[in-house]
Amino acid sequence: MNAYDRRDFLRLMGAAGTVTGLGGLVWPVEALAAASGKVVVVGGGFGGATCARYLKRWGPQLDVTLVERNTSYITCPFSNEVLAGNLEMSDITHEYGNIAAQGIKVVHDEVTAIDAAGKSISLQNSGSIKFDKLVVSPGIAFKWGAIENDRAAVQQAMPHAWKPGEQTLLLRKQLRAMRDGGTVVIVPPKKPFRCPPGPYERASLIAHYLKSNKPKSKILIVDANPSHSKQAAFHEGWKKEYGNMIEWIKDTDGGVITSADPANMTLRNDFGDEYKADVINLIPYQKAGALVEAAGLTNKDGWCSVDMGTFESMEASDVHIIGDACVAGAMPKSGHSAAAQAKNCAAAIVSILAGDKPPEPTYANTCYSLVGPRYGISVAAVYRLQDGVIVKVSGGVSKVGNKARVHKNEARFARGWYKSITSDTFG
Amino acid sequence: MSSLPKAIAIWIVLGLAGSLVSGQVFAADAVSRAELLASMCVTCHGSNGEGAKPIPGIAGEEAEEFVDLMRAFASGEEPTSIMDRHAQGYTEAELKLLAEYFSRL
Repeated sequence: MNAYDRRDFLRLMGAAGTVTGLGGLVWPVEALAAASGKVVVVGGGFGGATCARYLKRWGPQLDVTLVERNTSYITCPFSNEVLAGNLEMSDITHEYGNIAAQGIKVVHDEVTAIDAAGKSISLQNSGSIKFDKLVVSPGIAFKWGAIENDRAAVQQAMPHAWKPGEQTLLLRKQLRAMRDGGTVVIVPPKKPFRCPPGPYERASLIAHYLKSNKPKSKILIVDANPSHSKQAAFHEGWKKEYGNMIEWIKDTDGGVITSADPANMTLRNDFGDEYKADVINLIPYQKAGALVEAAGLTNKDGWCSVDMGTFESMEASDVHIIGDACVAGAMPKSGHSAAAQAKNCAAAIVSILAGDKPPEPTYANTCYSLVGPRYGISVAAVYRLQDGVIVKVSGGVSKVGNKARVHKNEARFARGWYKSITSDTFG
Repeated sequence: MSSLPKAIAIWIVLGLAGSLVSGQVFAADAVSRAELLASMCVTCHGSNGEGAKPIPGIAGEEAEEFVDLMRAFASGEEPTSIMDRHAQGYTEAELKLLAEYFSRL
């Protein structure tokens, strides 16, 4: 018997009120009020899609609607493999059919406004939808202007490729067209940003492509930050796999880019020094998605402050915000974090709508990065809610000095992770 | 068993009969802590604990072995990729809840 049978069973018992049996004993069974109500989830990424699925899984009687503007979802995880030519876009694209088959209404439309007080959202093409509870998982938007000319530069000359799709393919085309002996510059944004190890995995997989195809080339990571995710593990891997092909320039060594010149393919830093390159990947500074900003749900830094247990917005009751857009204490902005937040949020909503107390929160994150197709590294952690803040209670990064077979295993686990999380999210 | 009403048979299967006799009342949470805890595991181990190669399945694991393995991961006795870093994050009581949950899947 699984837990779902058990819950159904208890619900049945609850409906009966008391049960008589076992030699005439009469015992009360706490009535399990089934959660009912209308929950609307906006945003069909790792956060939103997972939340919709777990709302329905834990509250089968809930009326759950998922609103997502696109008819398919391209994952950020493994998009660096597409960039390096090891995978195709179709390998990382997911549809919403299985979510709809679960009894969730899937609406493909653009949300134009959130009316938190009136408990409804407006859609571009299909009117408005009322809700008892709203979950928003809007992802990130770019903070244009943090680097002069960033918005114009990323269109064609210096693609960001940070929201996967056309931009990923554009950057891949540029890498393929580059001469042997060329220079690739990657500009990570200043923290906080989506997928903290992403720029460094990207450097790794581009290096893997260049090593076999254009071995005289060089990669510079010009970084506005003093340190980066999985730093020691990445640097060890780069040395082992690619010698001196990748160079990391931190903030105080000239890493803070202040302007871009797309016509001349140059970047200028805060010292006034210039970097010229053949291919430039300019990743803009980031903030919470445009929808929550327009709805007045962001703080002064551009992110959403929430109750870190239920993910209810500090700005609007019955509106919950999960994923990259929210401030979630020690949790990184990853798809795995978003999914963990989604499950806590779903558990809280189902419990509240059933007139019950939400279970004590629990969170985990697992994130693999590929230094090469057969060289994986990882970070994993478990978190708890302490005094209203999510804190890390265990975890860390792959050890430096691990044997090659350990890295080979981590690369294999990375693929298993992808298979499992995308199936848990999209069905 | 076959002569008992089905509902009572289920109580016994669940091991709840003892607690009922002793007068305790089973609190039926809308979402139990075990379900939420387990939902963290299944992100990697498959929505129903079925695994995702090469990540092993955990559904149907014998409860005592589950707890024993998690302890061994946490202490470093059992070599692993990332499970040491996860296992160290849970209390003994939480590991038991998880073990019981996955043993029933």
